[in-house]
Formats: sequence, C-alpha cells, structure tokens
Amino acid sequence: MALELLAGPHPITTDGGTPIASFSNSSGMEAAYIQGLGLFANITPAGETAEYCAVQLDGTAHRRGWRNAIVPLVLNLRDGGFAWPNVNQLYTFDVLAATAEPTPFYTVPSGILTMQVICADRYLRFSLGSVQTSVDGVTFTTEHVWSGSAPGVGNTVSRGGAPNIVCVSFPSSGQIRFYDVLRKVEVGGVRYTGEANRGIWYVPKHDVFLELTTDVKLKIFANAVRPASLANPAALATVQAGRAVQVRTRLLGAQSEPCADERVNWSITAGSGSLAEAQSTTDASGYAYNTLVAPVGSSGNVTVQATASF
Amino acid sequence: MLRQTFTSEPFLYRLAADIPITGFPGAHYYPEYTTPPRIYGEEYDGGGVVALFVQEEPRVDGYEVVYLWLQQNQINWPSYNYALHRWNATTGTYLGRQDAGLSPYLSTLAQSRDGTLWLLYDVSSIYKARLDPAAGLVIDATPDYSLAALGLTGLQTFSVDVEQNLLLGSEAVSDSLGVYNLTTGALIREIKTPGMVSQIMPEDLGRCYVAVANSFTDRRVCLVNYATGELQSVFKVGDTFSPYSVQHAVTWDRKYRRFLVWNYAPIAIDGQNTSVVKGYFPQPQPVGITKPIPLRPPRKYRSTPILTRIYGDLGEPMPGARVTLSPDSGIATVTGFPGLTDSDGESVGTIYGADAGSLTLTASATV
Repeated sequence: MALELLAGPHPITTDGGTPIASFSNSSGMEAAYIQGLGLFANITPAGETAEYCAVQLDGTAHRRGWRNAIVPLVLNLRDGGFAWPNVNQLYTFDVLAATAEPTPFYTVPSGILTMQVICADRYLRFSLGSVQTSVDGVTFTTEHVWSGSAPGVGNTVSRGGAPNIVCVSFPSSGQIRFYDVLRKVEVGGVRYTGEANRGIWYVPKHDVFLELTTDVKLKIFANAVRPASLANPAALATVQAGRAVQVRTRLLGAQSEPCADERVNWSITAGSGSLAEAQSTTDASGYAYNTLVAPVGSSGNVTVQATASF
Repeated sequence: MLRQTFTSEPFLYRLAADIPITGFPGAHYYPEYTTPPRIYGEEYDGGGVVALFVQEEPRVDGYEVVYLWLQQNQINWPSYNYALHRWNATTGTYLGRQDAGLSPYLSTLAQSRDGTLWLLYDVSSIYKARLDPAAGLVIDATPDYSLAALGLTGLQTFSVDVEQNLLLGSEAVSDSLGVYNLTTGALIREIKTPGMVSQIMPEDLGRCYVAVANSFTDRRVCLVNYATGELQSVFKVGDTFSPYSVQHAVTWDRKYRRFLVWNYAPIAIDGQNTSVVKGYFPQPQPVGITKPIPLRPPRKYRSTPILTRIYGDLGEPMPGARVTLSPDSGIATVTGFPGLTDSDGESVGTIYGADAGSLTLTASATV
C-alpha cells in the first residue's frame, strides 16, 4: 500500500540552522528512532565534526554526544533500548550518554556479530533479503522468506506497534514490512512510500512513518493508503421508480489497495431521484455506500456522482 | 539551556600606576594596554581561567562569596599575576581581589561537597587547600594523597569524597568518569559520558554534576549517580561556556542550587573587563517548537490530529507547555482546548476541515 505523505521533505539542520555535511555513512542504519527524543543519528554539521544528534520530526537537530566508531545500532527487544556491536562484542548503548557502556554484555570467541534485533531467544537480521535467525549472532540461517516481490536488503529496523513486532524498511524498493518475532510471520501487509530512501522508522505512538530520503531530508508518512482512483458509482440492484436501491463506489490506492476511512461526497447530476446521505465513509475494503431513491412515477436515466478530495 | 538566575558585576582591572613594581622596574610588557583609549595596566588574555569556586562566608547580605582564580597579564615585571576576584554570591556585587598566592602551573583545583578545596598538582599529588584572607590559597608541604602511589597517573579532572573514601576522576580525552577507591586507587566503576569529562561537581552523597566538552564550544553538563553508575540526565548550561579554559570556568553552587559560569566577553574600548559570572538554575528551558505535523491525512469534513513538540537545546522533551494552533484560513477550525505537552514534549491538537483547500497552520506555546 502506497502511503500518504503528511509532512516534508524537511531538510536536516543542526542548532541554529547549520546545514549538515553528511548523515552517518551512505545508509541510515546507524540511526534509530527514540520516542521522546527523535531520530537519533550520527550527523556531521557543515564545517564541524560528526556527532550523535537528536533530530526532530521537522528536521531540527541538536548535538548530544560523540563517539568515533559509528556502527548500526541493534534493536534490543529482550532488554529494551539498543545495543552497540563491536566486532565480536555487544555493549548496551546509552542514549543519554550517546555512547556504549564500558563493558560488553555479550561476547563471542570469534566471528563478527551482524544481528539487527535481539529477541528473547535468538538474534535476527534482515540484511540479506530474508529474515535470518541465529543463536549466537554470528551464524545465521533463513527463518522466513519475504512474501511477494523481493523487497531487497532490509536496512533500518524499528519497533512495531507491539512488543513482538518489528518494522523493517527496504530502501531500494521503498517497501516497509512488519514482522512478528514470536510467530515468525509477516503481519499487516506491505507498505510503500513509493521511492527509494535511506531508511524508514515506524513511530508507534502516532502510527506514522519517518523516512530519510536519499537527499537526506525527513518525510512523515501516514500509515494509510494514499488514494489514487475513485470508481464510478454503481447500483447494486436494478433502479426502479418508487424503490430504494443501494449504490456504492470504491476508493483505491495506486496499487489497487483499498483506502479505508475516507470521505466520499455524493450528488445527483442528472435525472430525478434523491440520495439518503450527502457523504459517506469508505469501509476497510475501500467501499462507500449510499441509498438512491427513485420517485414514484419517474422514468429515464439518473446520474449519481461520487467525489473524494485527496 | 537553563534558567539564568544570577549575573555578577564585571571585575575591575588595575590602572598601570596601581600595579606594584617589583623585580625589574625598567621592564615593560604589553605597551598596547596603556595606548589610548586603553587605560588599564593588566588584562586577562583569554587563556588563564584557573578555577571558579564558592566559599561560605557569612556576610551582611548573604552567605557566600564567589571566587574566580585568574591568570592575568600585566605591563610590569614579571608580566603576569594571579588574582582571586571576589563577588557577593547573593547580589553579584564585586568585592575586590586578592593575590591567589599559588601558581596555577600544573595545578587543577576542585571543591568537595563540604566545600573543601583540593589541589591536584602535576597529575600526581592531591593537596588540601585553604583560603587565607591575606595569603590567598595555601597548601601544606606534603600532599594528602599521592595518586602516583595509587597507580593513577593520568587524571586531569578529579573530585575527592573523603566521607565515602572515593576519588572521582577522568583522564585526558576520556569520555568516562572513573570512580576509584581513595585509599587503594582501585577502579570501582566507570561511567560513560557524552563527551570528555572536564569538571566534576559534587551534589550529594551519590550524585555529581559532570561538565563534558567535545570539539565544539557548546558545553554539556550531566547528572551522574556515581553510586549506581547511572547517567541520569544531560543538559546544557547557558548558551556556551567560555571558549577559553572551559574545564575550569563552571562550578555548582550547592547552597543556592545553581551553576556558576564564567562568561568571557571581549574587553571594552578602554580596556575594562566586561566578562561576568552568570548563575543558572538546573531547570532546562525550551528553545524551540517543531512545525505542526498532521498525523492523519487532512480531509474535508474530518478532524485531523496535529502534532507539535517542544524541546530544549539538546533535543530533550519539555513537558507541561500549552500549545495553541492558529490556522490562517477559515477552511479549517481548531477544535478542543489547547493541548499540554506530555512527558515526551509532544502535544496533539485537532483541526476540523470545513472545506477543501490549503492553509498555513501556526503553532505557538505558553511555557
């Protein structure tokens, strides 16, 4: 489902409006959305040195702390917060301090830790085009193959709307998918922002998505389909004088996904008759219904028009 | 940014004629100091803030005196002097100066929770220091603690907690605070901080404020629970610290519950000092509000929640502020009461779309 843009693109600027020279490295994997703080990301203000910043939804960023080694943060569903991997060791990442704790909480004797999520019973990563699982964080096997068209490399990972749900973004395809780490299934269908990007994070509190665009700007998308087309109204039974008949139309997105909870305005543009409602709301399938009453003794054609503003 | 609650008077430089001539009377440094329109015979050169601290001294109109230990240049031999500038901590009135007594060379001063002054010399020895009304800062001949004997050789910033037998400290270019056993030197715990530790300021038996600095001029202070190893909060003091000697230009005033910060400003045209000491209550202040962001697609005949966020200068949330939305067009109306920001600093108001079209929505806040 192609999502509807709510706000942006907002350029990212640091304190006082300084434009940024770079955002982390080429991807957004090192960033994380933290409720109450914003998009926590490593940013290099123009003419200055890189530092972890808190980026507001409108792009205003504030420096919080520095660290030399910038690596993708690991979402920790088991203990909360984030972990910071350093080759074969995992450290708790202190967001307030903008740095990792001094001692690791997990170490493997050899190998490189490449997990993106810490679950209660295993580690997960999405970086190779499927959901991969591991008990040690080093050796992974495929746990789930994404449905439908191949989404590409899973990049940023954020919390879903429930403790066992994660949101994975796929920058090359612009896809967003939710994954249930307990049931090991995709949930909620595939979302699209319709463009390649550097990463997308879900904001559960407000049910919106935060996208980092390829030119390093922020966009806010609704967790709702952007309407693209409204079908001509059709009667569900034969229209007869002196009878009421149900009519309906359907609002769809660009990929023919239903648009729910949208307002549809109704009018009669030709012929005689009346409508029960001037406006109705689309259901989960994108259908909006109304009732057409043809007057007793009337004849000929009646034209019903449905319009939606989007 | 914190709420400013105190501003001192600027201290006064001496005229050249008032500076005692010692050593080599013929020696003359810094002739520009007395080239008209400049008239004073000494000047802080921007690099010589040694320490800022407070001493409890019962006075008619207060209980404390603020001391600024400064290295200044002067036109007479030996071309520099060490001064302790003094202010009434209640009124900010300048109380004059006295000679510091000690050389700041290789010295770092720190103040304990009980007000005791400690001097770390050459990163190896800690002396208890006293403030003598006549002689200035005085230390004993032998150190109270030898860090070298404890195996601690690199501490640049420190704080002594005799009551709990703890030494707080940090090595140069270290983004962590170490908690050591004062007797054995054993590292008890290490606490990461968002920048290089540059000043440690005790607050109570378990907590201290830690000023941190990085490569920028904006400075941060953390509240650290060194008993549990927890970093409890991070905020900024003022807009910036002094760009010079930042590690010595801030202190925590436990009696009046405020940070005292030396704010350097360029001298006046006649050479008079214009820098002051400012005090800040540790309550972060909001500095901005985000643009209003709809959380659902705005539609005619539908209510749309509008998100705004109020934040401090570290991006921290500012709860309890009232946000008012103002559309510039009649196609949408604001419904409900203005929302209060929550613990995330976020407020969600609502507008109702009365017609189709576009409008500009402005958000303002009362804090």
